[in-house]
Amino acid sequence: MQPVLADSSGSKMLLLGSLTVALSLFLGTQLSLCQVVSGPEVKVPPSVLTSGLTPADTTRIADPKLNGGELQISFGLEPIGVQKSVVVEALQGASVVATIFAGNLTGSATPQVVTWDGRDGSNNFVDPGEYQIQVRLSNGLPPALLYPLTIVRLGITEIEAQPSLGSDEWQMVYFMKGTSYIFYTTPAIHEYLSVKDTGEVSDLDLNSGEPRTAAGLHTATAQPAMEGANYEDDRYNYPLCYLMGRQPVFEVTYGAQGTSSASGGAVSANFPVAGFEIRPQAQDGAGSWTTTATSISPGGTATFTGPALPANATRLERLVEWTWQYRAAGDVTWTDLPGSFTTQHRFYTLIGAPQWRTGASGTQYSGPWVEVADYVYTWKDQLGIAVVDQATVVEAIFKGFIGQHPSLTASIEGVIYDCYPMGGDGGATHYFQFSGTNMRLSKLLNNHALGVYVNCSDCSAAASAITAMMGVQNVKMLYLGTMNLKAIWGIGCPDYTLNLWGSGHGFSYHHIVTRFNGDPVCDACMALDVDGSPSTLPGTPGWNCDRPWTGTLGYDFLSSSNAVSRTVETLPYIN
Amino acid sequence: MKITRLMKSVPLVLIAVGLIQASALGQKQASGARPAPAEVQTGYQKRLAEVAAQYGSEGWQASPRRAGLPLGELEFPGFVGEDVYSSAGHIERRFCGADDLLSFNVEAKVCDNVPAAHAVMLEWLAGLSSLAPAPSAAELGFAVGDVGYAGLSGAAPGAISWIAFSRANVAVRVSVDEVHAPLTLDMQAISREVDRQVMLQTELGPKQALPRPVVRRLEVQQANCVAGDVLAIDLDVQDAEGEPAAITWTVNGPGQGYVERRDDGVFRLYTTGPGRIELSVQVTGRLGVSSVASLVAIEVEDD
Repeated sequence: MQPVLADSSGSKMLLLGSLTVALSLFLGTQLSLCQVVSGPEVKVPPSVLTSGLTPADTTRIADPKLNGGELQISFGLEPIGVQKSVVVEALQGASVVATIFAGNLTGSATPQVVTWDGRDGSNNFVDPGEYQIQVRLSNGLPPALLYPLTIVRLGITEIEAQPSLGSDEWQMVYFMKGTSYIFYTTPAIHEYLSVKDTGEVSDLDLNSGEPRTAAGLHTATAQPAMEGANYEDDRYNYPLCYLMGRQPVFEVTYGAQGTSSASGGAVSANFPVAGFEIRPQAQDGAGSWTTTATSISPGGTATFTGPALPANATRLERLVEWTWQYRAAGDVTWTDLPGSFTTQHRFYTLIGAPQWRTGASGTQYSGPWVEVADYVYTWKDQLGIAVVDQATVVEAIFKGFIGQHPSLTASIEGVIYDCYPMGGDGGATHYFQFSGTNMRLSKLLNNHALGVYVNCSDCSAAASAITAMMGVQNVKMLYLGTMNLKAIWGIGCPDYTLNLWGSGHGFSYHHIVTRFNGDPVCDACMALDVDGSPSTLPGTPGWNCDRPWTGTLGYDFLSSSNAVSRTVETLPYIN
Repeated sequence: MKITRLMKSVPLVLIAVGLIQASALGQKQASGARPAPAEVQTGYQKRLAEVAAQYGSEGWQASPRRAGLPLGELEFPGFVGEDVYSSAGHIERRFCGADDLLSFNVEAKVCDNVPAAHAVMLEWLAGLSSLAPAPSAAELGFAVGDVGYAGLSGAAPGAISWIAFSRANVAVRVSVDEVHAPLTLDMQAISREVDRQVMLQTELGPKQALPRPVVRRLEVQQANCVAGDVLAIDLDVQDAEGEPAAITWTVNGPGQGYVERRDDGVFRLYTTGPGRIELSVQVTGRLGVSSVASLVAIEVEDD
């Protein structure tokens, strides 16, 4: 592969290694020669020419619409110190589509470098196609350089997160649509989508021809991306959910068309490029994404495997930079195509597969709810808990749910125990329905839409569903009989009390949670007093995260003065 | 947008309406349809029995059955009612004041018979954590329903946080949402208005069925598709009492998707993940009674 030098009269000089051979050619032969003598890079020692222009590394294939996609044109200007008026132009056929540079340059030992943003004289991006970059001296001598250039349109329209090992990737669930409670599962076919909307010309570009930017992260936790009153169906970027420690796998779809800035019509992506291979690459802050794809095609896909996610349950974001390389057929070395396309992805990691009530069906059971996963992420961070296993998930959830910890400011959704001194009404259920064992979790998470007051059943049902949803196994509600209470600190209340109702201090029944069939237990609506005197004030917080049932630090002794019956129930249904 | 895939349609395939219960046209009452596992409610059932005795439910009055409650049509001056929400056989509607600072919720269940409505009342009363029983409406000096109880609020002496009552076969609970709402809202008046609306409905004869909406047709365009396809749904519902109060779709996996009705008024299933989908629709009639119909399966292949 060789570059072409051309003089102003049409004579051509073909560079062969370190030799320069002058060839006088007719125009038709010139075009033929230009097509044949193309190459990704040109490296010729400037010393081979006695004066004038010498070729150097120059972009052969480019997509100026990528971020940083400006292509680089290099050439030598000799001898050192000489002042020359230089013109660099982009040609399509015989037409000049852009004057890239025109001005005086001084000869030096290092190549001159000019960049081009791919825009023409009207500031429009040139369409994908075949071009030549011409570097010439304004006086027409010595012969001009002609670099072949192929403009392509690269970009990503869809990304589908896939499992990496068994069932280790889950869709996520939203629960609101406007003011209605309607469940929505993140699309399994592509959690990231950026394609044309109705009335638009192409997936990769706006109708102006400017590149379509990457779809921004959808960070709302209750409602999915909307387009007016309808679900958004052409542009979104939903969070992803994987088992902790696993490597995310993305199936990426490449766009097939762009939009002409000049005509406004659809234009082909103009690849594959004859005589060249183009391969995709990706990397993020944690390292490179691997792929077996050695080529791409418009509308085609490639699968990438990313660096492992953290080995704990958390939330994180990664900026994945998608790049491309090219090489001439038969060449060994790949050359970076200038620029990149960057997508941002939010990951939630779980300690295990989400668990649901046996026999439950419906969209709400398609995966962890985004708002729940986000709560757990917030709680574990504020509490400083490294969530690495089931016990630490339980600790983060039950401490976070009740919120009575120095590093937390409120209970979940700011709820308050339903007792008279707090303005409540005596402990009625507001969110849990005994009939059908149903927890209206979406209403609780929607700024406590059924009221700020909750009782033990509301808390038990919500916390058990949340805990199971985050991958903890064998979580069940636990029904307790009548209790003569000792000192307790109710959810949303300011302190410990020995007079919960203002005129009494006991429960007709109580609902808590267990993942060990009744012992140990967890309580999401009250803390116990672990200062050694559980029947007197003040109290010392005793969180109920897997607290044993028996013993002096057991739930039974610390919570009540009577023998309390236990009945292991199930997980609630949720809606 | 992949809605254009509709145009490549194969001939319409009618999918049988799955009969969830052995009733005509594939319907069933949505109420509390899930059977509770045997191990679930031993402690709770014991409490229900205690509460029934405590409140003397055997002596509760029982008016003749009524056709239901038009919850979606209730109006309260100064409040805007949200959409009717239906789940687990209950219907709910939230009413918000103009400044959105004051709101209340009306929850109801239209039952087949009076004892079932009394059972719902007992569930609400059994859910009370405090040892003291809730006072009856009569004890508080007002009348609502055949039987009514109230949750006194700690916000102020005499303030009421919720009122639960049953009128005939309809159980109703009206509750406030926020701390200071009991100080402002006239809960008695709200409850009486709901009660009045129940009483305005047709009295049912002993063997007369509830006016349940009928799902006459539930079909989708194709039995097989590729994830990403959009399938038109043909839903034909008849509710003799008027416009249904709520239509709720459920997409059961492992296949994934959602149902949406856009400007042309056609329901469509937007498939978003491969696998088998069972699509079901719950239609809640104007008077609060629901029917459910399901499509047996739609096979969604990976894209």
